[in-house]
Amino acid sequence: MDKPLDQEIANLLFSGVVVMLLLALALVAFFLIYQRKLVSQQLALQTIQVAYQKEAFVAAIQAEERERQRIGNDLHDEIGSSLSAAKMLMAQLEDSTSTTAKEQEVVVLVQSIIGNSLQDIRNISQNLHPAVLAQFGLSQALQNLARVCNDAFANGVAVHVELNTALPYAQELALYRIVQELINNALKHAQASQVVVQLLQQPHHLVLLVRDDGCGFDYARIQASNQGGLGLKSLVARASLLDAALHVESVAGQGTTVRIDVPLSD
Amino acid sequence: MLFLEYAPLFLVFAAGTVGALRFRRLEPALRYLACLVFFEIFVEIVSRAITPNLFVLPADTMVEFGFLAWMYRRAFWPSVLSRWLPAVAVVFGAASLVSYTEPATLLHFNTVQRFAESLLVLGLVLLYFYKVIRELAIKHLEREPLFWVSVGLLLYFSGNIFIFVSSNYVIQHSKALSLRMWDVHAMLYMALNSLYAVALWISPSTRK
Repeated sequence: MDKPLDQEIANLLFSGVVVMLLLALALVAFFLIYQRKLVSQQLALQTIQVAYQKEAFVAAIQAEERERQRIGNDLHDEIGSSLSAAKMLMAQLEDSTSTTAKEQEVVVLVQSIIGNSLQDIRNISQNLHPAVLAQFGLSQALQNLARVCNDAFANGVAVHVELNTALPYAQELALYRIVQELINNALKHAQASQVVVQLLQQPHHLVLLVRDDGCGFDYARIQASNQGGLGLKSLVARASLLDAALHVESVAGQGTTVRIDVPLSD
Repeated sequence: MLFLEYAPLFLVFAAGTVGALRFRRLEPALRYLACLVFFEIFVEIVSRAITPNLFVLPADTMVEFGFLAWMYRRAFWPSVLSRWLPAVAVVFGAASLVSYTEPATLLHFNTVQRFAESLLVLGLVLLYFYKVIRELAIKHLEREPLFWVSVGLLLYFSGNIFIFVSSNYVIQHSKALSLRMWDVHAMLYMALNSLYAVALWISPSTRK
């Protein structure tokens, strides 16, 4: 074989290999850059969606709280006042000498019904809008909540709060609602005999622990199947609004412990 | 060149060692890759022990494509392609076995078979890249073993496609050029086995 042809074949062959390798490398480089760009775009979109969802949820919570406050105030101020007036009139009627014994009996009964209704309205109003929270802060509001719910549990509700700093009202309200929801769950679903609430301040975060001795549930299964009720979803949403980490430990038959770690702003 | 004679062997053994050490922790798709590397070690030993060794090539190519097809089948599951891949592998295997019915063909490099394998594997690699781009399920490609395998296969087969096609023609004209050409192949084979070793090394627990 003559040398120039040999060289020509070699050049052709090796330049073909080099061109193919360069094309392959260019394809890999393009693929890497394009994939990274798409992933970063996807992440940016997800971030925007999460922020939008959070904003929408904050707006919904705020609207709900405003509405609760309005209904609570209306109940307390309007219906509560009317019932108080009715109770006073009944007291006057009770004192009247012209009423018969039978009528007196009815008046006492009506007074008792009005008294119970007034108490119910106060409780509902307190549930809808915790005035204690607004006036005296989270610690007092949790103690008050425990007092209100104490009779519903055989061994009562114990609250232990160690809080040195005042929190923003929105944060206090979110924590209060979380405790309210967990106590409600312990009563309605767990058939617990006791609930223990602890709010402890750590150097850079708050720890809220709510423990009950109820029937417990399979949290992992509920999470995986996305079957959680509104209460559980609301709990997760409120925790995410606080940028808090939510840990649920629950074993069927051994009670439930919910731990929420809330970062404190410096 | 002595280096290019033994370095590829060393790298196949290195990839095989990684595959053997991590076999239990490998995903099913990568277990096919590890099996392919074990088979390549066997082929390396046989082809160095017996010369001429071109009779090994059709079986080697057939088994190599079979393992790669099964590996990508796992990656593409449950798409339509993954259901058709076994049929493609069976047809390719049957066509490869035809070589053994004509002993005369075993004395030459089977260019058609290697060219067909190159095209099929390059097609699978490009489909894998398309799938990754379309699904965007992988955030860190550098932690994805199949990405490294695909890069290795893309470089190896795109670089070698000219060598495979022209090997019989070149050896008739110049033995020296043919040897230089197979040196290039040895370098690409080393790159492929290095990337196989990387893919088999990447831990499944830290890669997503």
